[in-house]
Amino acid sequence: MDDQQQNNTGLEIVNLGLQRGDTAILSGFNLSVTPGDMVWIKGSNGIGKTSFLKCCAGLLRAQEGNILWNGDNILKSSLGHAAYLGHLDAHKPDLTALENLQFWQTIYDSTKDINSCLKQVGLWKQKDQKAKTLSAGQSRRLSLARLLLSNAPLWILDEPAAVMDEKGKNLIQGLLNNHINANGCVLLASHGAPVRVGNHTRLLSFDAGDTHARA
Amino acid sequence: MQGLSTVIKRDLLIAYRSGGTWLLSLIFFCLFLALSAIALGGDFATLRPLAPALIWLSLILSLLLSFEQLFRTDKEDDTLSHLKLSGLGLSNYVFAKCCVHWVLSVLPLLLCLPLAALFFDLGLASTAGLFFSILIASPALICYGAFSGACLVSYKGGGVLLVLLTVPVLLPLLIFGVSGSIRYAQLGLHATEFQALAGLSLIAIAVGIPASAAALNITLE
Repeated sequence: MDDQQQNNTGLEIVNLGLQRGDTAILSGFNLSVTPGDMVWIKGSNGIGKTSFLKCCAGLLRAQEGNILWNGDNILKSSLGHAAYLGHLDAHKPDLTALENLQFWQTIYDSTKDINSCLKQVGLWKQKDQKAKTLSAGQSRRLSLARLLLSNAPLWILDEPAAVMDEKGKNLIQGLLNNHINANGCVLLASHGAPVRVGNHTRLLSFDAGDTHARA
Repeated sequence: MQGLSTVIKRDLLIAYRSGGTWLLSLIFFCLFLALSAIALGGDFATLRPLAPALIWLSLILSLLLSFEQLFRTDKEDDTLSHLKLSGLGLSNYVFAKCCVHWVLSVLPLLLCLPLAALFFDLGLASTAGLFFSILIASPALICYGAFSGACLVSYKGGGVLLVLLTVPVLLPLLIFGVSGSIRYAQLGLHATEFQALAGLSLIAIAVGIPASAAALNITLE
């Protein structure tokens, strides 16, 4: 138990150097995200926010440096530390919303209740609708439900509110609050106005040549 | 283990709802055989000795067409990324996909083999020989194809390249498969060809599945 407590350091980015093609996105970058932390990432289009997030999830290999989760390198397979919400929703169009979630529940080996996840994101009435008949916003809500199902302590969200209406944006805000209060970590890239969530929200600005985090 | 069976269940359900697109390789198989029977004159005396070779050819051609799609949709809609993050292990995923592919494309062909035997007026021994040679070689067919499919998953129009990549490793299967199904009549399952096919299948499973998982891993990065 003591060991677990000691190793509960969250995400540690050490001396990260990241390139896409010939363009350097980051070099010698350090950041530590401990449980209960939220990092809001801003920056213009094409500056490398998505590459950075994929790197933190372990989907992209950085050219230099290490990313650790509780002391383990995240490139080690089957760490299961992160849940990622990207530009694509990854639902199977011929399966219903409920069937899509049932698939991920087994994959995540999750004990959480699907029905309550569906109710939380406001898709209860659409649960037997095929995913291909959902609107872009509803499909995004289904992705949020998958996020809720996963046991991953680190949420990595890339423009989650892009297709959402006002209610949807508030929903995301509420879910983030709950996750942070439950000692989760969040990395979020968004063009919206930064909102403080929990006690420790930082803003990470991506600028060409100069990337810095401030509280 | 649970993750494996849920991938199988999901893909079978998707295939069931796809409106029968999985039947295409079976239809191709039957059409190819019917057309070759017509092209070769339709005389049973000429056709009978050629039947094992023709049936094996149509099997390989119909399978080659299907591998391009094996991992394509999961890659394109980003399901693969989520599976990788879930910690399921891509080898499990590839194994599940191979099982589904076997059920959807090899099993129907095996079940239709008696029909194909009717086209060529084959006896029971020849049909059984074909059945066992295809059954024993099918894991190798699927695993090698899956590897090519995994390598080319992010190339649009990689179909021809996939055929070029897969055909060389399928050649031994074709050679042993055809001669095994002919020699079954005299030697039964003791013919050395069947041992060779079983060996090739075991190697293909041991090498093909981890290699496919590694290939998928690389395309994700």
